[in-house]
Amino acid sequence: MLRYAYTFSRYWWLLLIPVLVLPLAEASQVRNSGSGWVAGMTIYVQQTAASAPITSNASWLSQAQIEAGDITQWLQSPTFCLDVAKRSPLYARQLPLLPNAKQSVTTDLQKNVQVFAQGDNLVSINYSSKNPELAKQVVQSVLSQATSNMLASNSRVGAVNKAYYQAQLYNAQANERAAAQQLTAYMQEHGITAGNLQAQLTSDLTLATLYDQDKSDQQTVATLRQQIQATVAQNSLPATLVNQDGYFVADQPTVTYVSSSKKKELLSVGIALVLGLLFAGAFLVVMTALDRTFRRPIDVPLLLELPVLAVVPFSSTLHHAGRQKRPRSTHVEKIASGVGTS
Amino acid sequence: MSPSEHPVSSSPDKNTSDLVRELLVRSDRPTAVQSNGNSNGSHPAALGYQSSMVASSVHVTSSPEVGHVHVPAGTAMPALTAEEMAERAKRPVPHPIPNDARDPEIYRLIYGSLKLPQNVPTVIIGITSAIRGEGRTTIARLMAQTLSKELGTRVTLVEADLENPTLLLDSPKADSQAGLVSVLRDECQVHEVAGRWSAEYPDLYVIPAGHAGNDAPRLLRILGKRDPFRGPAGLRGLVILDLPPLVSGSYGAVACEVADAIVLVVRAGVTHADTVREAIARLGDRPPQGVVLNGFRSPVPGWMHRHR
Repeated sequence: MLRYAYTFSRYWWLLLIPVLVLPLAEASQVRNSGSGWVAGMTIYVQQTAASAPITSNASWLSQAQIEAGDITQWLQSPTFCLDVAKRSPLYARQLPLLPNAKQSVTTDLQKNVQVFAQGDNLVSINYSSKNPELAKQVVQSVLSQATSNMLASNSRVGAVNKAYYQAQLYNAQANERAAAQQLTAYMQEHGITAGNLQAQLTSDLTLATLYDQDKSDQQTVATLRQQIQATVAQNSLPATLVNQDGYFVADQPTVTYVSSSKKKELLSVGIALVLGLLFAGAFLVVMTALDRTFRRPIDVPLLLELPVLAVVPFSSTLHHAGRQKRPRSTHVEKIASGVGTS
Repeated sequence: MSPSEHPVSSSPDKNTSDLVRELLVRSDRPTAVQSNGNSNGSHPAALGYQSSMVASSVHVTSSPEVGHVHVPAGTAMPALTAEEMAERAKRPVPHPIPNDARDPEIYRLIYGSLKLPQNVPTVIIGITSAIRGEGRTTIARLMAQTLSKELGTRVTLVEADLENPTLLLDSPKADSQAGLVSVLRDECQVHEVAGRWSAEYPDLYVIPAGHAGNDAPRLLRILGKRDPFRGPAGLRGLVILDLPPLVSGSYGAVACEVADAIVLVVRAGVTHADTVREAIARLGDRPPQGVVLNGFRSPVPGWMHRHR
């Protein structure tokens, strides 16, 4: 037990670090995040005909989970976070005062914005702040910025899709024209008219093949035209929520004051204090176990089987003097100055 | 065992007061040198304390003569037997521990605990340690200063750490060869390089190491083989050798051979037990007579000490 006391007397300042730092850090954390205003907003999302093909690949997720995931993903983008801040008038006013606005805003939003799904169709967006009005503005900004970002993204995707389908349509129309010419030439060569065409199809295999090819190409052209029309229609829809799903705001942003209870704060600090003490205790035990030096006079006969002639207490004066210049005798001074024996 | 062959402490039950009483008994014993009245080169048997010096602090009682062993002149004292060592190891540790490292009681205790030769003109105590920085030189100096004032005989502090001399360190004439080095090179006699410490310590003399340079290992070997301190041209009285460390330097153990008694300084909380064991093993069949635990820090705060 005394060995632990010796170890403690040597490392007490080191042991204080976890005992003090952990509770203080926890207290600071609790004080900063424990109370304040929280603005919350709930939106109702549902699948639409326009969004069906896009979300069909993630059918194991609910619509609300998809939307919440998308918004959370956008929050990882510093540019998105900065745009959100700029959309909020109160936040925008603070931006010039921040040394690194983009980084600060990103850190703040990632820390204080919470987006989560409630059931299959409800998405909650919350933001904690000391300023209730700012909290409300940020929640609205997050929603509107996410919507406009996805609209821009979908617009670009739609343009690419349209170009792709138009190229496909051009090829399909060329194929269809070639097939029609071949069918017309074959019918003229064999004296087949439109009237007896159906009768000849059953007996003339070549005619049937050419006829089916022409019909297939016509069908392809028709399908591609429909896809182009759908793409154009999708891009022309008004701006909606992420992925252009249909949505409406179920609950307008509301602000509530959240205060953590003193009991909870004390509990958190107490747990941190206990953890700090445990860390310090573990350190003390380990250092004592590893210590193979002579701490107590009684260690000497135990470890060396030699008597202790005397115990010299620690003297900071002598300790420092030993490292620097020792007091000299007059004889040594003479030698050092070259006067004495040489 | 004759009374004169008794070790300083023959009982493990002896405490600090008993040891100091034994010291006082030494001074009461008549010696040849005392009868000659030669104070500068007095006989080590006179290296006891004058009763008047410590009588105020310790109650003196008469006890049989103890502490010294007859050793032929010119040779170091034989090592302690295994039984003696085991007996000494059973001694209680000194208590209470003084508050100040300069407390003379510490150095009286060290001297009083040693088994030293009797009826020889020169007694040599070697102060060594396992590694550097354990307070060896400081303890040797304080011990020499204390004993020179209290023994009433000549005490010579010899800096034998040739590889790392500190007395002439940072002096403008650091390349001066004056000192023990000159003696070992047969350039002069040992008494020629000894000089008085200061007027404050009239019986304390000092011999600095001098500048050995790369020659230090060879000179340390010479020191171990040829004892320059004993003999007609040697020193008289008590010689305290500030020896080189045992583990840091290979020739530290060789230099220890000239000492009648070796004291090992161990810094509390710094020196590893295995390092100290290695140091003791290097001394072979002449182990140290005891350990001085230096730099002790009590885990109990100073204001809680009530024993003083």
